[in-house]
Amino acid sequence: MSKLNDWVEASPERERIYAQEKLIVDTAEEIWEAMDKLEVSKAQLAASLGKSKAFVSQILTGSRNMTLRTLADIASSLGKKVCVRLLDAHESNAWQSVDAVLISRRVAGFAEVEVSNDPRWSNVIPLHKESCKAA
Amino acid sequence: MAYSLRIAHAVENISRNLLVNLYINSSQPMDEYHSGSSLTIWLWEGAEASWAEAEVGVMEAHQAQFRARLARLAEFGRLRVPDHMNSEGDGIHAVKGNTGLRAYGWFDRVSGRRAFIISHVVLKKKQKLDPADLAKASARKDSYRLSKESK
Repeated sequence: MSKLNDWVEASPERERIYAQEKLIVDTAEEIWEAMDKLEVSKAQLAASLGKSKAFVSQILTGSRNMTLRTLADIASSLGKKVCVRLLDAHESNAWQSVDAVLISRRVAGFAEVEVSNDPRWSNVIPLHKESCKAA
Repeated sequence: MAYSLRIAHAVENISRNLLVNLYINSSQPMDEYHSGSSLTIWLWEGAEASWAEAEVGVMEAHQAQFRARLARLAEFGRLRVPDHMNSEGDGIHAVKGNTGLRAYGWFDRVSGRRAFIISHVVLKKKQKLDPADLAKASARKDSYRLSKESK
């Protein structure tokens, strides 16, 4: 248990709010990562969406709620698609970007993460037990 | 057999990390805050008190947002959105919350693991960085370096 987990788990209401905020942060970071890699600016993304730059800024800071349709549009504008899976609430780091997995290929000191070359997982890959093998 | 070896190896790793953390905590005035897949976040002496003070009157949703960004930093080792984190110069970085919450700190390695050490947390009143906050974080970073080098 970390001090962060202690804070989050102090009440069911906190867990609920934190889960919302974590999803918003993760989504914004994934979008920004794709924009970085493709060298797409906020203004360019806004133009391709037919929205204002302020709209994109608000989406990325989480100050404006993003609909699933908007998320799909953003992904499509960046030549990506969104992959959604519901995981167990206590399964930590079940999904990681390829970058993060490459940085920490060794998991828990004994498991090796298998990086999928399947183009379906070009942006996000699963880090499940079955994708780990003994070092 | 292979399974037992893996368990033994994991237990050995955990024991070694516990010993290293005990050693660090006895020589460096900092506490572990959260450990993710990429790095561990530490609180320098006084950081926790400044954090509690900064959050007085801040809505719980905004406190959660701030922590969600720190959790992401621990998981991935960086925050890409400039509204989530930026560099303040002199090796000091700020994790940002939308309401003005800022965690100033620096990156290093602790026990061979990447680390982000939080100097202090403030609730910013103005848009621009207060030079006093940068000076405070820089001074604490210097103390950290000196204490590390003297070991």
